[in-house]
Amino acid sequence: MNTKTRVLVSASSHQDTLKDALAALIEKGDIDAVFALGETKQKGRYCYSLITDPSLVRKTLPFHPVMPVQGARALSDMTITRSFDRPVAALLRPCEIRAFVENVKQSQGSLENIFIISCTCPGVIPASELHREDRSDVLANRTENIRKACRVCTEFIPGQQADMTVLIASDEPNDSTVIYLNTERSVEIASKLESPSLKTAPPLPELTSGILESRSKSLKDMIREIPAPEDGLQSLVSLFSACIGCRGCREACPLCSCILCDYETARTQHSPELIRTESKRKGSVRVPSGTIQFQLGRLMHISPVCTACGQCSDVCPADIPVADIFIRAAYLVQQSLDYTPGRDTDDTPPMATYIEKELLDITD
Amino acid sequence: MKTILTDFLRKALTSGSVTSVMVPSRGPESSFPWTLVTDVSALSQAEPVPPVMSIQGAKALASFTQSETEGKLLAVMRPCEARAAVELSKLKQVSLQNIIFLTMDCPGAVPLMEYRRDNDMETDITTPDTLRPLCRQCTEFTSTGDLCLAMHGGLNSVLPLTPEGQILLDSLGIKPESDTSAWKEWTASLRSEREAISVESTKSLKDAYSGLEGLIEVFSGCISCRSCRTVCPICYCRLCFIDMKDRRSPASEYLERSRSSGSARLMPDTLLFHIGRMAHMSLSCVSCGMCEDACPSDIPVGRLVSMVSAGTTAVFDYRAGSDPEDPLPLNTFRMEELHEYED
Amino acid sequence: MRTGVFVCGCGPNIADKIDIEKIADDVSDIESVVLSETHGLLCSPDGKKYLENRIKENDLERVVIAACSPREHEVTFMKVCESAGLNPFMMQMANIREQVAWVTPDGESATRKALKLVRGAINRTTRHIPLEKTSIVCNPEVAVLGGGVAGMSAALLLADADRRITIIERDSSLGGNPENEELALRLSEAVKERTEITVITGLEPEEIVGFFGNFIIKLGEDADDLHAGSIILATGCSVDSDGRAIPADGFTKMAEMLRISTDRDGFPNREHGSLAPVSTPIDGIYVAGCAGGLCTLNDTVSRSEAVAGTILSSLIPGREVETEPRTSVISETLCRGCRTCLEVCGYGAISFNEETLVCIVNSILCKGCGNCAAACPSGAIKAQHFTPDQIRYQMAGLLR
Repeated sequence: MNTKTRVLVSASSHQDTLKDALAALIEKGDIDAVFALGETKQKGRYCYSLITDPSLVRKTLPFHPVMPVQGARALSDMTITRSFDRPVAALLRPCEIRAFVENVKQSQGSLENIFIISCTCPGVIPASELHREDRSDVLANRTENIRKACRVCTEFIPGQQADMTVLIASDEPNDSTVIYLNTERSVEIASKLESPSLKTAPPLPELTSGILESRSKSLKDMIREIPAPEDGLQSLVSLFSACIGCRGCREACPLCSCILCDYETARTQHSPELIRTESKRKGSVRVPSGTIQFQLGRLMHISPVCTACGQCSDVCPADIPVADIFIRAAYLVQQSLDYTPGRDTDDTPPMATYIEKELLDITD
Repeated sequence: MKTILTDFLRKALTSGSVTSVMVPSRGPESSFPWTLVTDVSALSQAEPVPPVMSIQGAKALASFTQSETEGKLLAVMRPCEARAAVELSKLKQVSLQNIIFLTMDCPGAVPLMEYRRDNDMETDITTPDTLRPLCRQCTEFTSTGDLCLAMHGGLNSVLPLTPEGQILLDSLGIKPESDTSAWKEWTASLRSEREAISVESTKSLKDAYSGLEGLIEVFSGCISCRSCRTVCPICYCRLCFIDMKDRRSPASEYLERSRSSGSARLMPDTLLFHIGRMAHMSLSCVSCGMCEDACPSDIPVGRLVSMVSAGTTAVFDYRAGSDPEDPLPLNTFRMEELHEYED
Repeated sequence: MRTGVFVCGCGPNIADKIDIEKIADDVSDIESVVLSETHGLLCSPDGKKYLENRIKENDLERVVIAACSPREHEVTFMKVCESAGLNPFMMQMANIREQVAWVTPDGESATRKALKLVRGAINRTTRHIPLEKTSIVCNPEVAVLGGGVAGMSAALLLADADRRITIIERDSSLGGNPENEELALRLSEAVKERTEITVITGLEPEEIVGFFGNFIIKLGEDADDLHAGSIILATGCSVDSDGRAIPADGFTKMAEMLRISTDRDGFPNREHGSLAPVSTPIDGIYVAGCAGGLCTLNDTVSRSEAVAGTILSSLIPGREVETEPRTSVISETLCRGCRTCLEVCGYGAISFNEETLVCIVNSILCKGCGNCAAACPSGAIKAQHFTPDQIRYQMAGLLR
């Protein structure tokens, strides 16, 4: 492998560089549309849009540190019935790409004709911080204010699906914008752009080892702090006692893609008779029932494929550290299954793979 | 208020006049889950009027009363929760048979998120600034259900509002206060105060977000978490129309939509979802504010739905949750109606 | 997908107003359309033969016919599809006669409007699913409501033809009007002798559902449901304080149950005063004796003969009736048991399962009117052949 990688260097900011490049590509007809983040009519509120008008591309906010919805969810929504038949550029964070790759594996979307531009991700700001009056301060002190999930994220360099990677998070501050060209088609696209120059640069891990180190440490700390199953059911009950059953965590999750959640069906809901009988037996029961069942069920369904985006914590109106719990479980489950979600579309999902001898260490 | 209500529940359960009680209880981490209690000793944890509304009581009630309960159930609820339960009974999600509702002069609730971050918050009807916006403008803050704990105008007494309530009081040997005039005055004066706030709030909402453009703006921060729908006591479908598979469109259609105005917002149909929800819910909305509490994007969704509800219920001369015998307007056929809307 | 579009000129009816060639031409470049043509009169014997051949020759999978109202010729063209080996539910009509040619004065806008309707129909058919027709064998048994002279004489005549009959009499014994005591006694003796006739006394129908060939009469919790192919109303009449003949007490409720219309005095309307004097507008339900209005004893007997004759000639053992394939289906997963559908169903086709707390459609009773699907607040009911998907695609085609 080359120690040096091809990059595109520009003197303007990464946002301006991307906006100019993407607008130009639409104008030339190389791409039909751009999938990117922008501010809505209301200040401080953001959304993803599919933009076809080059002048509107110039109004987007590429890699603005917010995540109103998980990008994979929006992409899956668009490509679930049929893929794009014309090239579209999508600006996605690494966790969004990985989630979308998992979607694709489960036939919940298609990567076809999507040109992915990603970045070494510095993280995003929690929604609740954004809605504060003093949000400009929040944006200024980016690293301190990012989501907890982002502070422990060690997968901040996008994988092989990213055609281009913008160097944003790095150990040393950059004067210029550096965009890594990871694929042949990205080189081809870059050659069509006029001003920026092509150079080579050291591989990304070399430029971000400091970030990786500090985040790995934070991750280990967090995993230690979160109550573990061995603390018993009671600790789970405590953790989720404030849950109001809004299911926002499920709706916001890019990987919870069922049309109707199993926990909304009559099959899994306790019958009125059962609840009344249990109340008589125990003297008192919590109603509606099924809070822990739902959370544990979702944990079971999602932990093998969770890409630790932190969206679930972000939407929780009861301030439950949902993502922390999921990140811990996902870390342990994915390690024991030797599975990295979103790494490659060809990796078969662990629950759909039969291996004759596996998990011997957890069988007695 | 807590002591009087808990004592009342204890008495009702001990006497055998009711066989179970539904009441919020103190849970771990400053939470107040609803509990269905049959054992008197469990009432030591009861927290009949917690500072927050964590789950709308009617939703909790509907989880185990779709079929008729055996023995009497006494449910302690805020007035808006009892009214939602009445609406749910019309949709056959709650069987009112054998349920006695005990409400109170509701002190309101504080916003959930604020309470989660500051557990010392208390609700106090006299300091409305701390209350959720919809509680501040609530005019149906008392006198709902079969029994109501009146705590103002010099009263400190559970008053019967229906024959069922009277029977329970009689069986417990409780004689309600007979002179309620001062309390009624208090009620009337607070109601008119609240009405004024409501008018003001509706006006400012209308001014801020008028027309389609206004609606687009107010919902622009929506992240499609659908929490407003899930926590709504009346939204009871298993699968929402907006999530139906047949609403999916191919990628080409998204491109086409984008081309028509240069840019298409994703997730799509945010406005359709909210307007659809208003159309489906507004006639039964009890203005409990649960949707607004659950919104992680700080959208005044509860105030908006409540405002629309005031308009639609007026058209049908209907008051959500006030009378179980009043049929749902959309399920009622009248030969002669709504002539004023014909051309 | 191979769609064929046929635009009918309906003689001059459509062709004079609408440019049918332009329509056929304009839709020909739609992706799924492999064939689009015009025809002078598609419902003529030649037209039908032509259509059948074109479907076969071109292996058409979808057919769109732009012509008259489906009320006029949908059945005709469905039959053509069937004989061409195509599931008839893969065909869609666009009504460009009643909805366009006859009502839109200006030819140019008529053509434009017709084109939109045709595009809608083409788009709709892409979401069509074949539906299978089923038929059920008619039940040759007959139920007689009312055990007076009229009911008994009709029953005896049917018994002579080896039919099984059940007489339901709400009094404790047969007989009816005491004025005819002597004849009634003779008839009831005869009825007792006949093994073909079963007599149920002391009960009256609580609910009647079903249709010609398959009625179900519910007699309450303590009695088994009664199944019959035909029902004879022999409930007699009475006289009010003004001396006018009025239907027997309780008849109004029964008429509502059977959904038969009544005249000003409350007696059932007849299909035709002189041609079909004993048939009600509902197939399989007949009126005998004074249940249709005061008449003499002689008339009563002759009306009973007419009823028996009509039943024997139409309700033939082994005859099959087709059931409606375009029924509603309820998703057990999505139903929340709110029972709104029960209130709007005019056919008694939906019931509520107390165990599973969901509603169920009886597909034999369902007539596919779609009321329940429209009323269901949970989107749990699908009216087959009128699914939201199909309607949405039709709208999309129409508005594009």
